[in-house]
Amino acid sequence: MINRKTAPKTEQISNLNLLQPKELFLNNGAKLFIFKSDITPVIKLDVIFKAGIEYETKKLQAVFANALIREAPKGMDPDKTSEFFDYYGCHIESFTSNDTAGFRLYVPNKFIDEVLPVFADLLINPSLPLKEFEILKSKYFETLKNSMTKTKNVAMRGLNTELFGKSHPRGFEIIPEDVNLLSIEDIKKFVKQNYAISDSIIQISGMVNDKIITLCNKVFITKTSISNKYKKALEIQESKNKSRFFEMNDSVQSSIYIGKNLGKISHEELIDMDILNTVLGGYFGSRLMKNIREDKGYTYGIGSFLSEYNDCVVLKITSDVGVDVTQNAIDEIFKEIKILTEKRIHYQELNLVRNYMLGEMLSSFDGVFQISAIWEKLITTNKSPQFILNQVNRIKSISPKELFSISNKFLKNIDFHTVVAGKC
Amino acid sequence: MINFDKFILDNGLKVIVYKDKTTPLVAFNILYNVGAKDENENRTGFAHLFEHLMFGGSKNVPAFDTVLQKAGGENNAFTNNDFTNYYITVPKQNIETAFYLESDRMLELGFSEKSLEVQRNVVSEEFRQRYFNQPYGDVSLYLRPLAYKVHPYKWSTIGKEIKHITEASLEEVKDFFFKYYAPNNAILVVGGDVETYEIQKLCEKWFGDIPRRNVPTRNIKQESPQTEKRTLKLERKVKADAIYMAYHMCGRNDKDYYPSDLISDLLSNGKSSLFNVNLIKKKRLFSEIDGYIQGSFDPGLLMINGKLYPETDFNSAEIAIKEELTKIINGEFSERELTKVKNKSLSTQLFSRIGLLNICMELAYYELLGNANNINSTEEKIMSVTNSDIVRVASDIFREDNLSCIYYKSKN
Repeated sequence: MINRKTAPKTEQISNLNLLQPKELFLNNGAKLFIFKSDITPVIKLDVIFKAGIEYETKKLQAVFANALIREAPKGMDPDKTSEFFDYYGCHIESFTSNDTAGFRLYVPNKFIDEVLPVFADLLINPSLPLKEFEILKSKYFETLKNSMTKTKNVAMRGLNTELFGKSHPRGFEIIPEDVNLLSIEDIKKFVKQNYAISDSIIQISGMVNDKIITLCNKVFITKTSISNKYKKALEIQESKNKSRFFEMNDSVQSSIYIGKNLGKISHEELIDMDILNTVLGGYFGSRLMKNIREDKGYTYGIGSFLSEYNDCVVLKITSDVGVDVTQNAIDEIFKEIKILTEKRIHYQELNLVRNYMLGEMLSSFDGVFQISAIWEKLITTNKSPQFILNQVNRIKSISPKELFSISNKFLKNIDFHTVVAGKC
Repeated sequence: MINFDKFILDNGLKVIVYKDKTTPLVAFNILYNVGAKDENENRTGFAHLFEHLMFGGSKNVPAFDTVLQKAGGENNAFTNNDFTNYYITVPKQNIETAFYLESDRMLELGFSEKSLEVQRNVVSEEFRQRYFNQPYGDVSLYLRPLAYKVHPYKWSTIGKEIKHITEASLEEVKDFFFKYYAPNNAILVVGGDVETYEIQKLCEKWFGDIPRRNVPTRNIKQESPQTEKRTLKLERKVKADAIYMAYHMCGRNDKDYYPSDLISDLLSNGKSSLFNVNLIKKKRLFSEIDGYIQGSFDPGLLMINGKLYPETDFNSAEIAIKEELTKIINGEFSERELTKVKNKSLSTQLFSRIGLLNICMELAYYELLGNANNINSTEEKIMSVTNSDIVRVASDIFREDNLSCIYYKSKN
């Protein structure tokens, strides 16, 4: 009989190697990062611009610009463009975040020669067609109407407004009618001011070969650069109120969004906060999950995370809970935050978190698509690869005392914003 | 070509080993051949509740997650109408932890009354979150029983009603375990930089002494062909009217499965699909519309869901959808259009097989369908679909008497 009473011995992860991409400049000045793998004949091409919502001068400009570029290059009919990409088995994702916006092309290797020139043309010479703009507007109007009936969306937007203020793009209160205020000129202006291929970051991952690199150089030839990129100085106007409640009477659950702006913090502090966040609500065995889901059964899921912006880092805690236990859940969340500032973490729990985080990093380094995503985050948040090495070392070495000191620095004053949408 | 080794233990556990030398991780995927379709009609939602309880401790391991996290591993699980799937990824050096954990919970569960009580609440909140706290969230709770009259697909995996979950007793749960969680009712796939002999040894060591169990033979009532159109009107506080159409189609192993899949792609996969070009862009009747197949093992459903603009009424919406369906029945699509959806389908498949865990999950799935090796013949099956297959299968599916339809009306 085997001994099932004791778990097999485990080893801590020591060999964490992040694949370094090959880096080169294209002829037009854009930076190209290459992540090579020879397992599957597919290519993912990411083109990233500094064209996120923080560059908006009008609500929704960034999202619409991004979606409309995707429609067609000049001289090509939008329906034909869609058919072209579909025919070659491509999938194009377009995305807009706070700081960046961009496109991800997924294409099988065998069609790259046909697809790449058209994809590049799409980004360099978008036609921004009016008919598609109008369709996009009416669709988006409906989407917004619908999204405002979801407690989660109402609470999420509400928290952002509390944290950044109504006049900050991150805190804009958006209603469906805002869609109608947008004109095609607003979009053209935004594209001209923010989408320049020479200033973009291009990442290519998958079964890349020299021929494909040569092709990249050929198609991304245009030099369009923005000499004086306009960026409004954004002033954060944090709300003085600490809690806000959106009553949604038909809800059977309340969405809780709690957040705190930690300000501009150093990379060292960010790494420590990331570990602290994991302890609090960053994994399945976190204190919030253990208490609020696994002990009380108030929710299907609860989590905390750090949102990194250009000028600050925000700690957020979110959950959907039964309406009858909304206040209990909020109380328990703050109880857990308080414990972090009053009592040092036990070595045993910290070691568990170390191992979990290292394992999580190891699996996030697996495969070139995932590695390129990590790399993208490093570049767009102005970090060097050294950040990852520092992170690994810190996860291995941070002491309970040091973790305690970071929680006292950032969590001691209970100056969080609590936003609830639902019933209380 | 995906290569793998396969062996069976004396107790009936099927094991597949997939080798990938490039990764420092090991994926450990175990599939149990039990799903919501095996539930008693008065006790629905059990297979899924049970999946939650599997993390509540086993005979010798009180805290499953803690042991795994200590080994730097992660895990999760999902349940559907046909099966339940558990998966772990762990650094290769700690592979034995996965064997230790999964074998112990196959041996015997050890959760308490308290853990059952908590998971009953957690699952009830999951029920509320997904079905009642989302606009349109409850539609599948009505569409399934409209389309299915006898087959257990008539209830959702989450269950028919929350009451079934809150009333589940410890005794019932234990009974469910010994009925279905048996080595002879499971498929294990291990993937990573591993050798087959090494996995074989670990399997013998950890799973070898778990006894075979008497798994009941399935005796599922199959649906008789539908004979007339079924409709249901729901009124809810949502912002837009929506239409939900479900047509019966073949099961997963049927020869008409891939044609059916491609039909749904012609309708709505990609910006150049019929629905997008004609219903969203040209006629501007819908703000969104989607068509897809469920992919269930027994005969399933081809679904069409659309959200109507305020100016669109249900009647014109339904007529317009059917005009697109008629185009397929009449063969009004080009050879290029068929090639397009085939290319798209193959490309999706290629991209979905990129991660180690994805491949392991798929191997288990194909093995459950009959033979893991069929993972390598999907491309050929997709490519061999002809125009006349599409026309024949579409004519068979898109019959008025084969349709169940929900008109989801906005009440304001």
